[in-house]
Amino acid sequence: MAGLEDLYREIILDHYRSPRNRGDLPTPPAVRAEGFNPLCGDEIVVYLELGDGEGDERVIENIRIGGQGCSISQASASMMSSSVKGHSVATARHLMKAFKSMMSIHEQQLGDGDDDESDHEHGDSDADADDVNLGDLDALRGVVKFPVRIKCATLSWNTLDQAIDESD
Amino acid sequence: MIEQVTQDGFTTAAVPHKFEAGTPPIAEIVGLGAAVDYLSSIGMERIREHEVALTAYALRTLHERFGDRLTVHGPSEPAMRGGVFSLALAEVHPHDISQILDQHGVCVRAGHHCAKPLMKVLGVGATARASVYLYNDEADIDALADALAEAESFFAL
Repeated sequence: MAGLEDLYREIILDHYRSPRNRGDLPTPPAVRAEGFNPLCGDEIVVYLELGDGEGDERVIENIRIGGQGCSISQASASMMSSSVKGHSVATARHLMKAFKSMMSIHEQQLGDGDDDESDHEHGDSDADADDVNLGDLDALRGVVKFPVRIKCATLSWNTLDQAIDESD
Repeated sequence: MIEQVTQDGFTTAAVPHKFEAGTPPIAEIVGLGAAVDYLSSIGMERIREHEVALTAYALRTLHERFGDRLTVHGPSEPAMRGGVFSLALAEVHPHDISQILDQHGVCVRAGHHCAKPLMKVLGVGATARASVYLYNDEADIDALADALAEAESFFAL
């Protein structure tokens, strides 16, 4: 049985207690996207400001996080913001894909048929997660052992995805 | 429910019978009867007395151990409430409470309990909710309080 230390790693608790990039940005020039987890009430607001340029070449000049929710959702949002800030949209998408791949439930890890009713997306391949250096984000790996909490961890990434879409 | 069935088609009965095909819930009806017999043999008034006594013990215990750090939503008078406690522990989100309680063998529901307007009135996003009934005793309340203390120390700044 997975223990609490698998879920609540020290680095996660640190991001929860001292969230990075907390706050908001004026819109415009920033865009604002809201994500909700209707099952538990968690809420993430992403403010995103992209630099000049074309499409995925644009750099994430600034990002701020609002909202409220459990330690996993808020820590994941904080870690997400730190990992993409100053990087291109292409890099952010790459991290997003790798992170979601890490958060995918694999049947062999879960045992027999413990089916989360979630709509989580399965990554294209395990290689996605292995090829990318996730840095601090790797601390969230243990969340996959707690299927009901996976949505907490992926909420901020889905909200970032929306914000990028709205920046186009 | 059908009206006609042939080799190459069928027609349905008129509404509402159209939607009422199948075996009636016989097992459920028998089960309900057994539950009524069981509760009647104990006596509903005695069940309620047990529930109120346990609720009083819970409110007292939780207040003694956590003071103002723990909010139990709802009336403070045990007779005015059922054996259900919607809890808010300072600085610990309900889903984190439920995760830690779960690891200590205490099952609660965390979330908005399909009552979002009430959450808004209470000024919270979610609560952790414990329930007690006939089959619980004071040891269960103590286990809840112990697990809440674990949650509090785990998430202490």
